[in-house]
Amino acid sequence: MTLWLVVLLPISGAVVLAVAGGRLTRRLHGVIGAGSIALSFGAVLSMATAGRGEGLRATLGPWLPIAGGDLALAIDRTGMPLALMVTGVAALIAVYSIGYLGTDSGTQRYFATLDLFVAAMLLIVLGANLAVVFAGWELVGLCSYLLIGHWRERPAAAAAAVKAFVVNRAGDAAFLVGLFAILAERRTLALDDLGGLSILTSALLLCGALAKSAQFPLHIWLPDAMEGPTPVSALIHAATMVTAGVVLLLRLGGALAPEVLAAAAGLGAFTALGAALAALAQTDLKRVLAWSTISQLGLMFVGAGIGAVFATLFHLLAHAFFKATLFLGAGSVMHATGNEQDLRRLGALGPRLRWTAPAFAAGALGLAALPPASGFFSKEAIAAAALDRPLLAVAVLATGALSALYAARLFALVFVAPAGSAVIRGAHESPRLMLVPLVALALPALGFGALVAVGGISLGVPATEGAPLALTLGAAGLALAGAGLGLLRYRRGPFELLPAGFGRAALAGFGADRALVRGGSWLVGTIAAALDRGVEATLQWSLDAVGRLILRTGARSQRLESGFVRSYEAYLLAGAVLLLAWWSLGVGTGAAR
Amino acid sequence: MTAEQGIFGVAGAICAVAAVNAVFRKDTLAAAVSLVVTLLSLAVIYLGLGYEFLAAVQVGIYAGAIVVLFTVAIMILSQTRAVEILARAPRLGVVGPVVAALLFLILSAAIVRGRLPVAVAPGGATTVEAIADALFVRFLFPFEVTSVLLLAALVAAVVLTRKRSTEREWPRR
Amino acid sequence: MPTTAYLLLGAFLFALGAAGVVTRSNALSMLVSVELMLNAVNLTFVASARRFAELDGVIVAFFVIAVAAAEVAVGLAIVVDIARRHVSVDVDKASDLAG
Repeated sequence: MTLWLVVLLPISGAVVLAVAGGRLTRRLHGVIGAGSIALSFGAVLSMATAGRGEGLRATLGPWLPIAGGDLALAIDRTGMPLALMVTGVAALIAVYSIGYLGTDSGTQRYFATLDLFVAAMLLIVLGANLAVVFAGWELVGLCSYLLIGHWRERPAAAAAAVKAFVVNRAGDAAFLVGLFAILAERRTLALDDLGGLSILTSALLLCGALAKSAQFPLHIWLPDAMEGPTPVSALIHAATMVTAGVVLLLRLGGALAPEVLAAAAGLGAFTALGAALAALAQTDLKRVLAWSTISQLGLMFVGAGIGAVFATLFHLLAHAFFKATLFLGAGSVMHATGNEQDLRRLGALGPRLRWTAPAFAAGALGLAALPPASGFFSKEAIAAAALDRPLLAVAVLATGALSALYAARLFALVFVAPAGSAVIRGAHESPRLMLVPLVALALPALGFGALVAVGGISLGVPATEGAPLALTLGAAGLALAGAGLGLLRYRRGPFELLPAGFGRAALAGFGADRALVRGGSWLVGTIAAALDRGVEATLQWSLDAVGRLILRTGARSQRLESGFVRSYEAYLLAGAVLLLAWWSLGVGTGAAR
Repeated sequence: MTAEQGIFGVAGAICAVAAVNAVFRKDTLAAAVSLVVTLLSLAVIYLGLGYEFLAAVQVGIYAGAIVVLFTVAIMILSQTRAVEILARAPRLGVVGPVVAALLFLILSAAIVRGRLPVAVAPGGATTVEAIADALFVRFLFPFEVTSVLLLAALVAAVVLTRKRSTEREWPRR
Repeated sequence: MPTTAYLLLGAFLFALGAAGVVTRSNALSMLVSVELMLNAVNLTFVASARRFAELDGVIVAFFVIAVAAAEVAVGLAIVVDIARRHVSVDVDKASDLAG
């Protein structure tokens, strides 16, 4: 039951906030919202320290009348570290949100949705079957919609929320069809009983994962999702949403067809490289981070695609820590400068933000994969696993170098470069309520990788062989070169590293967004127009037909109601004759039988 | 040819002819008299079957009381004007008899297929004593209900035919 | 004489009565036809009672006679009422039930 407590605590927090939140103060909203997640974290931690981990199952009751359709949770090999990370990071982000939102009027809505978000992600991580996972999957989509559109009065936020929701629906639809295909194939949705799925089914499931994890070509929603409050971005990027696709791939593991897994790895590598280039050209603080998330998730897809469970999980966790740190740091920067997000107008914040700057640096180090920050070890693990596939290995290493470059560029432009505008002068450090979670996340962003690498923390998954020394040195060298180049180049302010035309293309995400949106709306518009015409004509005709039928029937039956007693008697008689005839015929056939 | 067969042959023929007469005579008084003949011939048939008491009731109640009631009604209504044919009146002159004939065909087909050759089964009580036993013991409850029904009909007939202060209005009280 | 003959006579009387009820528009003739139908049923009951040596059919005939008496009393009262309202006993003139 402790297992269910993990999920039910955030849900009850959400329910309490939704039902009674109107009578509570803003501060109490935050306390309930963060507290329920923290309690959930405590529940996971107690299970972990009690040594009750993998293999634990808890069934709440029957749900769908199919095999593997129970409301059941189970901890598989990736469940425990993921649950710890999700609840832990989310709890810190929730605490941060109390400070960040301040006097925002929507705290009840915000924290209720936040709690539900975490619960939904836990369903994905811990669900014992794909039915529960799908329920969590849909809830995650809904909550992301609500949170991205938290500032609903802003048209851009509303549009971004809708975009995220719609793009995710495309993946969700594929996932759902995939579930039915699994049912048809295996007659069960239980995760243990899957294995050797067909290519089509696997591809459908991969589509779902692509959309949720913002991989090409369904990555287009993520950069826009920056319209939400920054803690929400942190939550979506680190803990609750975009990792869902990777988690799904990890949990399905070997059940997917090898061809599809190879495709996942290829798509991941492509996305990682392209998104890294796009991140290099962004001028918006949060958009750099958004593209970097897409890029890092691409690396995870590479790892999941080649079956490197340990490396993928490792990078997922490390990424959660350093990306949460970066986003919370970015939020702190925006808080300090009155919501200034333009990199060209920022700069020279290092001396003014004495806590934020080092924390952000820790996150950037992780992203840049500079030893000894956590990203170094996890990226190295993925590269080592991809060594026997040269193309993938090269893509991973190149992405690593680019990551270091844009991470350094980001840090330099925000904290080192000369002040880009007057907003810097009024900058002030954020309240303690925001700094404490920031620092608490910065520490694992720095040290988590090393701890895992030396065996201080076990992920529950057997570690792969250590990387060859040449790889370690090469990766470290590339990261150092990239970071050094970035710091040197951008130390003095904005600078066009990329050729101008290429930079513009990269800024717009290489037009994928535009092309997809245009193509999609053209396709849907055409189909809708055709359907509309056809449906309208059919509807019109059928409605008319019904009307005519009723009128005619009425006119005819009115003649029956003559009011003449003898007519009624005649009906009675005719009915009696008909009944008798029917009976006598029935008796005849009955006798014949 | 037994007595029963002879009685049925004669009385049945009279009954059928008188019934046709009763239904299709324009003159209602003649129709009522034909009905009396029909009912009396039925009473004779009952007599032939051995049910003396039923025959007596048939003569007393039916041919006596009911037809007398008819005749009185005819006398009361004799001053009403001749029947007017309305344009909208249902024209059932053909359909009605055809449907009725169809009914007769179906019924007789069922009857003939039922094959009940012997009219009188051996044994079986027919006396007044047996009838009284059945009526006042086994069928006591229906019997009492029937008496209530007759009372209700009596009251209804009085209420319906009573002269009212203003026509077309129910008495308000 | 087989029971079939009795039953056939009953069926004939019943069909005749039905035809009369539908075709005659004079209320009195209709009541006469109804009486005919009731008697047809009575005949069928009685003949069957005799055939199976069971008294129940006869008992039912008694009840039918009682109900017929009630029916005629109310029916004739209605006819008299109609005659007062419409100055006629033609039921086709009394089509107040028209829908």
